[in-house]
Amino acid sequence: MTVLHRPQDPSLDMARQYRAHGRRAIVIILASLAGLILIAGSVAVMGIAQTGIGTLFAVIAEKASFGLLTANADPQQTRVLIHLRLPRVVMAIIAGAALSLAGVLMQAITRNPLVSPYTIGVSSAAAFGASIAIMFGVGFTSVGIYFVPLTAFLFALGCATLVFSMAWLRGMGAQTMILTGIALMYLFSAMTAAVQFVATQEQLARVVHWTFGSLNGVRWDAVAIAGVTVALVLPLAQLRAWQLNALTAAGDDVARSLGINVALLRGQAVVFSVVVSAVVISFVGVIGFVGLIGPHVARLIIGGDHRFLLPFSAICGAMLLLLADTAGRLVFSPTVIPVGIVVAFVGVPLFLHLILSRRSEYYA
Amino acid sequence: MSHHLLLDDVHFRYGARAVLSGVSLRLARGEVLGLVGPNGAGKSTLVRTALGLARPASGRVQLDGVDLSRIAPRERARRMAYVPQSSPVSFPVTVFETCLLGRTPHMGATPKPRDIAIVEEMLERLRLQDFAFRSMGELSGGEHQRVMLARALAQETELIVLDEPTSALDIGNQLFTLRVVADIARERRVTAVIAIHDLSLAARFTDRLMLLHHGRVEAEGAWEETLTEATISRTYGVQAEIGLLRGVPVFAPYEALT
Repeated sequence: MTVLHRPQDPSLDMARQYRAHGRRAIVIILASLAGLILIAGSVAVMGIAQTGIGTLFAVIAEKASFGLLTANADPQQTRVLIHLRLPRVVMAIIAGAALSLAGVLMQAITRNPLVSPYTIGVSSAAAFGASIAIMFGVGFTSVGIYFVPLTAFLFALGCATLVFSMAWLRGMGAQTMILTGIALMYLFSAMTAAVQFVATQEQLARVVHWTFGSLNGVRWDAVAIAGVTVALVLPLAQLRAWQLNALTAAGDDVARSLGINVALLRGQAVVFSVVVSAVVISFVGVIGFVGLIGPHVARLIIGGDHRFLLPFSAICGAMLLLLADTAGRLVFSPTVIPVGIVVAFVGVPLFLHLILSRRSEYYA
Repeated sequence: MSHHLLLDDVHFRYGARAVLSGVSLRLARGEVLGLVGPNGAGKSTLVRTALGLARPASGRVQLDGVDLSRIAPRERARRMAYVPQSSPVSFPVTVFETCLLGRTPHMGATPKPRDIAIVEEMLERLRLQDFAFRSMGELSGGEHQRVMLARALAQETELIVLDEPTSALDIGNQLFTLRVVADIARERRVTAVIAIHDLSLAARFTDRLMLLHHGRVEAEGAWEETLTEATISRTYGVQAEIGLLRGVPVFAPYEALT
């Protein structure tokens, strides 16, 4: 039983209960979305430089009206909000949503609850790309600040292409995909270690920092690129929600007997999942675990119907990353703990709790 | 005469191993065929070939005189349904949601009231209404198998292919489930192919049997002609007594031949 499912009422007909279930799912999605926006607003004004919620509204109103409304806010506070807090908060939401969405897609097409975009090597490939960009990046200044993210992104795509081609050669089966991905993950991790071995102290510090995953110094252009990517991929995935239901609930052969082109669906889902996760990882580094736990939390609350699960996973991932980053900012303030570390500290106990409390029907 | 389902000289191999060697099959609309034979005889492969899930190395597979490969997947799914031996459960989905998947080839992005009504009818028919909102992971093997059948019946096809639909069922549920399949086949003129190990059930609930052995058709026809002491000892390697109890065919294997 998920949180959403109520015990069956024998006095009601099945059709009515099924529809009630769908309505509850939509209410949960809308309520959690409202909650996310509220939390985002609240944490944006928290930090060393104290700003009020009123200032936040004024600043957003000024920007949203293209200056027609004037904020009359303290310029120092305005700068903190516009250039530090808001991009960070918005990026936490987008990155969490993207990683969790990528996770739920990968889990669906492999029918494996332990898979995340990282399982197919995307993150270690990106980390390797970032490492060699940091090491050998001197002189390639024409692409400037985009050099590291771009290299990371290209390596992530390269790795995904390799996994994809292997799987395609073997008929797009789920097992080939997972096994090839894990093999490549180890290969890229080893190569990153090799790069670190020869790196200077300063380069090493940057590489390590990158592999922690951090929202420090996120800029609006990164937010915009990642945001547009998620905004494009989410509806495309949503269109395939019912097909994903068939694939997860019944397996390849039955899905095919229901008229679904399983190889095509799997290919599309891999592309969606890799693109959203690679874009985010390229900008913020390796933030583990959100892609694994976001979908699980969502599934336990709302059930396995991907029409609701896809958007709700994105919301859960966003919420988790936002809370983790806020905790990382505030708990040891003024020291900021990289969000990748906090997510693991918050996520692992939560994950273990879920496994223990829901074991019977879920991890049978 | 035109055949509803036709397999003509079908060959299939996994690597060097021939799994089907020249199997032909002709089914009229509304006919129920039992597919029997020892483990590894090629029953599951024949089932998957008939559904277009496996492509034969050579030979023809036709539905109403049209090559299966020329029928679009969605159209095919509206006309033929599949009940597998087992299916994986990795995520929490309810029985109702699983059954609704049978409506996939008939619906757009989301189920309509008619789809929901059909699922309701099939769940009631298979006595699953009390489980409708349970998670699939909570069901017993037998309940799970009945859900798979309800899903395939909700697909409302003219042909249904079942691979060991009763392997996890107790004797009461075996009779009940096969009775439902036989009734629906008769009421709606649905053609059915049932791969099944239990020879008694096979003989009792089908119009005709096909006995497969090493990928070839060993015998075909009415159960009395197909399952004789001679064919059973040749294919299964057992000596069996065949009899009728209250008109029900009974097979008692009493000695394994070495």
